[in-house]
Amino acid sequence: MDLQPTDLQELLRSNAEDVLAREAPADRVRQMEASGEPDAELWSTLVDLGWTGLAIDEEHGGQGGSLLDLAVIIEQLCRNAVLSPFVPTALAALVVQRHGDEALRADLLPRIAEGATVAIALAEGRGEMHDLATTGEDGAVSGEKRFVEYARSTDLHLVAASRNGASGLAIVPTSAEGVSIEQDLASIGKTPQAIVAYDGARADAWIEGEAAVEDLRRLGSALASLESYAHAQRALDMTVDYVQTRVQFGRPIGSFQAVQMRLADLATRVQASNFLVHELLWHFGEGSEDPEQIAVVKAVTAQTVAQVTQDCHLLHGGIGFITEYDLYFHTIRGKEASLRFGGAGEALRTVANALLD
Amino acid sequence: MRVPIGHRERAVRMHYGWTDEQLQFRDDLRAFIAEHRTEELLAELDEYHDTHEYGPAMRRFRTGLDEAGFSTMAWPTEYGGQNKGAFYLFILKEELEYWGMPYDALSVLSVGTTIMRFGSESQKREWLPKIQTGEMNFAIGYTEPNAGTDLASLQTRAVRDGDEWVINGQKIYTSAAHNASHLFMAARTDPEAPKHRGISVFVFPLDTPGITVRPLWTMGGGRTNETFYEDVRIPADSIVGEENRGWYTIMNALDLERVTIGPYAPIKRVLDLMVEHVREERPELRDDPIVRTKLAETKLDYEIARALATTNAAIIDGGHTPTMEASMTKVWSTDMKERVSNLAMDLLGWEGALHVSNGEIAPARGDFEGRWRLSPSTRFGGGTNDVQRQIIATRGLSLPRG
Repeated sequence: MDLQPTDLQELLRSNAEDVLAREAPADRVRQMEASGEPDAELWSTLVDLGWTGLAIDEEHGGQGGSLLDLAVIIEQLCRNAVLSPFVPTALAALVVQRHGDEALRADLLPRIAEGATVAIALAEGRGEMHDLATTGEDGAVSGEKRFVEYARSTDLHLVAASRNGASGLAIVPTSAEGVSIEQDLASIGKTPQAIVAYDGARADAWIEGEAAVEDLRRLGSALASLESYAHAQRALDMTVDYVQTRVQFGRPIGSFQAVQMRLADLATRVQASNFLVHELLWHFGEGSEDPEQIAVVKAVTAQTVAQVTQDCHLLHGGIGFITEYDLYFHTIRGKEASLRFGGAGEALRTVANALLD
Repeated sequence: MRVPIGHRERAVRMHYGWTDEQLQFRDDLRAFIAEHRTEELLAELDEYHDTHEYGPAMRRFRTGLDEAGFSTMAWPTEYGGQNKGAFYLFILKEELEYWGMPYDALSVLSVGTTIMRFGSESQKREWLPKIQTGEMNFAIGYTEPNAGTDLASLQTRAVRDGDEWVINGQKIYTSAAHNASHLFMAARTDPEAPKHRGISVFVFPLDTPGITVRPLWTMGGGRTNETFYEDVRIPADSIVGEENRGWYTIMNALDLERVTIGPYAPIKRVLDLMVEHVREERPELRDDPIVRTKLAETKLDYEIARALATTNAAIIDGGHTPTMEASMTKVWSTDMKERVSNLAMDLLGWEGALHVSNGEIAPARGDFEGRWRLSPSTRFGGGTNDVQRQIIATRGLSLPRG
């Protein structure tokens, strides 16, 4: 066991810090929030940097990086509160790489590395991710999906459906006939999302099997946990800086024991989340991920980001509450991430079932 | 600064798995524990909580651990260890604490490694082999009635008289002073110097004339002591490290203790005992959504403790000194130990209050109520948790001191 980042990861991180400070400053993030769409120019920068192919095999046009390498970039995107389809696209690429046949991998992965974007169309109804009603008989996808993030702006949708009674994933071009946005949904984190109707939409390709759908749920949950952690870490870092400069009663407020003790407890939870998230991603890389642990990490990071961001607002006071200041980015994005692929309540149920049944 | 245990060559980074050798060590250790964890040993352990006296089975266990090479595995080879690194120690502590097995971490880790680092050549040659076998074991004489968390204000005096030191004063919470062979004591050798710079550390036998040990019985069931020192004469070479530099020696001892700080494995033990009890004996609780939620939350709390303890051990294993990571582990795991045993009792109701002496009728051998009574000592001991929080804030997060 050695938890030090590799040299490559250190390089990726410092590179991403520089690039995002320059290319994704907070005012540009506010523009993305206002427009409800990702920033095309920023996306092409990320593509040029090779980030979209980071975890794709070299034989398919990527760089053959690990999930932990990918995590470095995702964490930096979260720290800058960037709204982009990076995570759903990376998730789709991972699932294609792990479960697609060679023809699909050879076709799709180079396109993703070069900038094609993918939305994940999994949940139905009130967020149901199992026993899906959407069908994909004879390559025609029909059904209604909800919480489809970046549904309008992405090139492809990865749609969980059943065909001949078996689960699988259909790759449907967003422009295909029969794909329509039924309703845009305004979500707490301002990530664009929609209810999408598929009415006999032609699938380009199909990934067979429940294993692929389950992997989508599990990896999706793990990446959402990573995002929750990253937002909590950023909010904490901002607050640790703030309490050292904010002076009240003639002293920096960070010198008050009440403030110190609260921050010590928050930092403890964030530290634990950091370990748990990265350990989990390492297990995915080794093929040793465990469903109960995925739920544990989801619940811990969800509880952590909610508590940390809310307490950071308490320590900031009024300044943290106004939208000219950047703290709220992490409060709302972090909360949204913690609910993605199911909230802490569902995760706790999974943990309880694993313990007691 | 050289860390005497835990350093090894760097292997693969960002790797969260154990090596085959570490897994083998864990298996060997588990097999050893399974073989020695007899009814006789368990009965002695139940008794031990009330008496703090080692029984014959506990002694055999301790000797067996040493003979198998387990207890000093992390020591450098030059002192009879195997230089295996901090993770072996971590695994050792994890397994022993999970099963509640006796291990004198205080002597082997805190005192032993401090002597390795600060002791004279003759002290190392004479004492370390005896510490390894358990022949030489320690009580710690730091705390005084007016020097607790503010340890540096201690007043017990050591005065040089020819080739002897003469000690006068009083210590409190000198746990194990009634059955340890030696005392590891901090005393004031220069009353004129600023308080951190007039302290020295001594090692001497507890049967030296002039020492009085009086029991203080604790609500945890066990015993600690107050100890009195009246013209206690010890040889000049009983001093460990430099004269008047003792503060830095004992701070180092506290640092090394941090290798295995935070009893996180017992949280898992309580959870496992609870789950087993509920599944096998209380089906109505097993199906109760409140119980299910609480136990799932306990699992999360344990995972947080495991994450913090492992992070801390990984830093030490990499040859670095943890600062806030050790304190985070200590605070979380000891706070959680209290909460988890409290939860177990709350869910059980009447039965949760039953002491081990009741036999079969006490759930989990009275484990929950016993642990809950003991938990204050782990929360304030080894640096009280609120001071640890301040260490996290000031050393770890670099917040200004108040």
